[in-house]
Amino acid sequence: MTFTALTGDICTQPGVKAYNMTASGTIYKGQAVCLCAGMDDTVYVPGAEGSGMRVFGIADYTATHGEKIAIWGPYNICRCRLSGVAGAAVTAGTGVGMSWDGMLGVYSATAPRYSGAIVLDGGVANGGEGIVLLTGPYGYQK
Amino acid sequence: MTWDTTDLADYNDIIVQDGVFAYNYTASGTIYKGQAVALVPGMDNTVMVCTSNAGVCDSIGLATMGATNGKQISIAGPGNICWACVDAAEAVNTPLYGDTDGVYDAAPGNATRVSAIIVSLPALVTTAYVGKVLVL
Repeated sequence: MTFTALTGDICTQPGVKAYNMTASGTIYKGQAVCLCAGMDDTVYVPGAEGSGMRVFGIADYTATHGEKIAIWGPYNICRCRLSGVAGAAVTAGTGVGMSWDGMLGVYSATAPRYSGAIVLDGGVANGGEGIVLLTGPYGYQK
Repeated sequence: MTWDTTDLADYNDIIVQDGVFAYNYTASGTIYKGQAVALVPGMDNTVMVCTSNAGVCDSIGLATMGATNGKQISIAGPGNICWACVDAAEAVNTPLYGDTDGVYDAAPGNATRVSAIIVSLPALVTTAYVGKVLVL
């Protein structure tokens, strides 16, 4: 699924200041990002799912490769796009981790992810907009 | 790992990216700038550097300044990205636990929770590996 950038304010309830990072590749407003291994203060959007991906935060605006980008990290409540898997609802209270194209998705035995956020406002179709509380890059893998 | 007092003394700011205000605590024993600290059981607002891993060494943050016993000390808590000493050249995203001598360790030991995560690859500086961590 291609990610469509969100509009409006990404962080609905800031708890912690946004971090100043550098974009690796194009990152769209509202995409969840991971830290780049071996690169200082650089974040990227994984193109595909895979184990070991941890949610660092959500992009405050769109940036291209090498540009500075503000990332909302743990302890902030932010808007994002949510993805589900067959039979799993993305509803309030659901834990989510890094999914395709910067979306946050539910985890299951067939789609294990490190938890990185809790859905506060969901109930949306695949790729729809939701609101999450970011809980940090180190969650248990489920 | 033994703490070298010069490890982080040359770093002007322990906090690289401030997410949250630093907290004001009282030092129990001498604490050096950049050391990870734990709460002293049974004492209000007092922090210490674990000298053994026999008890719980869960870190609550990093000292942004040095302080001697009984003095006030500023601690960078969760939400801040800071310079810190770690046990080895751990990879980005490695979860870290509090350990002895104010150093983070990838091995839990007796710690009960993840205290930080590696943000940038640590490099060997004099006798210790120094890297950026996100305090959790």
